[in-house]
Amino acid sequence: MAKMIALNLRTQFVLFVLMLGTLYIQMLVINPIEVDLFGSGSKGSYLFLPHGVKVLIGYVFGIIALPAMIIARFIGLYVTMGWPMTEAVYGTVAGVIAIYLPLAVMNFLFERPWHKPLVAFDQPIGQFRIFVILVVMTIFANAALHSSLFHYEASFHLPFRYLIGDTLGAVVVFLIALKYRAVIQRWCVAACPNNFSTSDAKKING
Amino acid sequence: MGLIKLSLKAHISVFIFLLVVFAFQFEVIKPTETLLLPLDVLDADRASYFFLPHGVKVLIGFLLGLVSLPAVFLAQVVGALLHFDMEPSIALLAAAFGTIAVYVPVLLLNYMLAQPLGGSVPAKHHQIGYFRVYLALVVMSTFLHATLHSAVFHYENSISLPFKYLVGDVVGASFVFGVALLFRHYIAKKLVEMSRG
Repeated sequence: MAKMIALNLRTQFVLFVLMLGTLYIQMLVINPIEVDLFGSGSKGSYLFLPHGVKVLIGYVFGIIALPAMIIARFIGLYVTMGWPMTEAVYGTVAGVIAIYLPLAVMNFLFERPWHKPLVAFDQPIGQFRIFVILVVMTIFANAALHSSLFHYEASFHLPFRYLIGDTLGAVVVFLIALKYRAVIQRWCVAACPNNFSTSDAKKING
Repeated sequence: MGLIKLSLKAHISVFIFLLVVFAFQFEVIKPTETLLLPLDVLDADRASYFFLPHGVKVLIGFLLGLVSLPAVFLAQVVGALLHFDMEPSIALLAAAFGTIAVYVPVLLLNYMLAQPLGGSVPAKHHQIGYFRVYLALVVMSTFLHATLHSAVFHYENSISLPFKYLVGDVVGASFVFGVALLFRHYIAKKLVEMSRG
């Protein structure tokens, strides 16, 4: 396990900052706009960027991004968003399960080790299609687990806010990632050379 | 196999089969659960730790594709009205969500496998084992089912309700898959007959 999550500290730190930074953007920019537009009645957002970032990181790095994800999520929920401790712990665990359980299922589907990233491996199916299914599966899992966490709201809309918010967030993140894919790919190859075959790495680095 | 044509008789067979499974769930499994599990574990709500109908729905969607949707939807409406003390509007909503929870994952998996969207899932991708595809379908449909039914029954939601849906659906789907495995030759023969029209 230690070997699996052995990613250099610098990369873990970059992933941590990326995830926490997105949570800050969510809290300081998107949430206030949503409160202005829809009022402040409920948890959940109609454009939740952090989920998209988490999925992309899980997809690209696999289990090795787990420490950064756990720490960023816990600090994000407890410190940045001011959730109570128990909710922050539950939210962290749920958020991580919502990424890694679908990742494990997708790896099982393709007969690969459960913890591997899904990016860059030889398969008979297009990467975009695999990414779409992973995103959808994580969205369903996240919505189910957070419906349990916020059951006390007893709201019909809450699960849909999670479904819509995570979907739109993932689409926005995906479009941004597509725009900067060359930079992201080069960084991923440099940070995690073992995730890529030699030919893929050569292709990415030009 | 791809797109399967269902005759009216086949539609009715699917409808009746699913109704029988609903009846079995509420006349046999639910009372047994009530007897075996203490009330605080059971929590006296609608969900079950061993929910067969979801597994049967997933298997039907997996094998027949979108063509089985009307029979599955109607069976759920009738099943909900007969076995739950539900208002018709809630029964319709629960049935609609129960149907969406099966067929959206079917469409998505077909999209991933580059097959006709409405067709049966185990069609042409022989590189990937059927059990693996079925498991992915079960996981997706289970999470979606738990989410949507948490919305429908939000007024009685508890921290454990979505988990009961998750556990019940997975256990039910595993059992159904095991039974289907036992009768796989019969099912395959029937499917080939249906696909020939």
